[in-house]
Amino acid sequence: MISFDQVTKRYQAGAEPALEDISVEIERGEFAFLIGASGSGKSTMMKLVTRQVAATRGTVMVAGRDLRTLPDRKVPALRRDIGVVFQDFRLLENKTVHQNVAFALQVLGVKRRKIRQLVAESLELVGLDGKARRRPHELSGGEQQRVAIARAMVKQPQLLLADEPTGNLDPETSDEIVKVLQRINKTGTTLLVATHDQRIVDDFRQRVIELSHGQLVRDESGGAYLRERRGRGEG
Amino acid sequence: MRLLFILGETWQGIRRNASMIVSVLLVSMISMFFLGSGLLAQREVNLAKGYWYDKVEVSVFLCTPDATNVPSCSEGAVTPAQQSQIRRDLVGMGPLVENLYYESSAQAYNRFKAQMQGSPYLSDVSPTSLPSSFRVKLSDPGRYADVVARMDGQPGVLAVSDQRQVLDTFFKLLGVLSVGAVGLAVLMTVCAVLLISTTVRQVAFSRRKQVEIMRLVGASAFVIYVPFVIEIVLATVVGAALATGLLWLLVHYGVSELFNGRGSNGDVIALIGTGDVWRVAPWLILGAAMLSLIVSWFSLRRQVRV
Repeated sequence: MISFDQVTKRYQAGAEPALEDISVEIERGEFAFLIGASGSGKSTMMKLVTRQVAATRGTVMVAGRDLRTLPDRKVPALRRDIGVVFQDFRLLENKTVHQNVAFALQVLGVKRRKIRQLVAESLELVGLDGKARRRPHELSGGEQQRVAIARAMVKQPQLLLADEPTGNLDPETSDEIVKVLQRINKTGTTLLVATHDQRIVDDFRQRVIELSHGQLVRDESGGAYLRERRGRGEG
Repeated sequence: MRLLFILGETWQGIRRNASMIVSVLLVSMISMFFLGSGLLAQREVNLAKGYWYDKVEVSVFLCTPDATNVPSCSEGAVTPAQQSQIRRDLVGMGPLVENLYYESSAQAYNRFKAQMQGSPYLSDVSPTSLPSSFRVKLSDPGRYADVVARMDGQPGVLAVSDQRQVLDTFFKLLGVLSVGAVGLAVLMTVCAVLLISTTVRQVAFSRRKQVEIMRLVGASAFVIYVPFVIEIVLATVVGAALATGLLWLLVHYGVSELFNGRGSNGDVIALIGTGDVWRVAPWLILGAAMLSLIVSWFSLRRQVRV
């Protein structure tokens, strides 16, 4: 689903690279955590996947597309295959929950009847059916993030990117959000979740890709990462 | 569906950025008003030139007995021989002289009497004090200087006068006004362009979250840009329409009412009418629409990355 082959990204010529010589593959249907300190390159990696920025060197392939050669006019089509969730939810305050989720389909020109059906399904998926008429300020943080996930999922993307989705949430709510993400993953959607939250990484035992100063320092699947931490006496 | 969505977004945008949109509307109105005024003033100059030049004649005044201080009249009143020589010379100027007729001093006095009826100056003028003249109508009024050069200083010629010289001052004034109006219009258009690009930046900034979401869900540049563009184009077109209304008021009440219908022939100065406003209006509106479309699209491309 996502393939980075010797990818380097420099924002300015001569500057330190934000990512350096990264090679990693994430298969279709996989769930991976992307971890690392601030400035380690997590966000750059996310931006490369959505083609908000282009790689300086190397090849990025997403959903069968080579992003190096993808013309600008085809970028919207790529993004229709990707859902994105942010730490700050990014909901439109003047719209209801239903309108926020429907917005993602309206801009794509989906028919009204289809929108009604897909929005209902998406809200049900995140456990928010019944709150469709609420406005974002009437919801808790966790609920707002669920709305953001519903909006990302309503167009039924093959890939969901979540950039610090639990960054603004308490531990209990964070767990609920990750469970929602796991549920989405079980429907076949590939997930890449960038996070600082060591606890959820440990608890949910998924593949972990760790970046440090723009370099790939660890790529462990399942509990291998956890076992090593425990072996070192950290856990 | 998408059209309804785009129109809905446009309407919400207008509501949320009302003051910016109104400022674009006003600047567009003022710039289009000046541009329209300039175009109408130029049309007035062209029409008035055609109208007046058509009536303009070159007058070759012949010597009177009293005009001995003029060198060409040193022999006193024009002699019949001089008069026929002058007529021959004028006729000899070929196709340039379209029409030629002679006005005797008695005829000149009668015309003067009719025009100045009731004036106290009438008693100061004797029937013999007005010069006789040849009135020359030219096929090309612009070449009046040829006639002046040929006739000025000829024996028996008191003076050569061209009514154009009087009118030219008036046309020059109108010309300056029209150039001034167009100049102001250009300046206001520059203001409009700068204001539109600033407005686009402001509006895009105020809706950056929405644009970001649209971008990331895979909306095309067209869908992202169009609500902004419609808002700006709508504001400038309404501005241009209001400018047309102002021009209509100006011409209807300011020009037609004041000048047309007065004076001897009912056409003293103003020849343009509200019809001319309607002729200019589509160009003003189309121009405003094209300008705002191009400026807002390029500003968006620069400021809103998709």
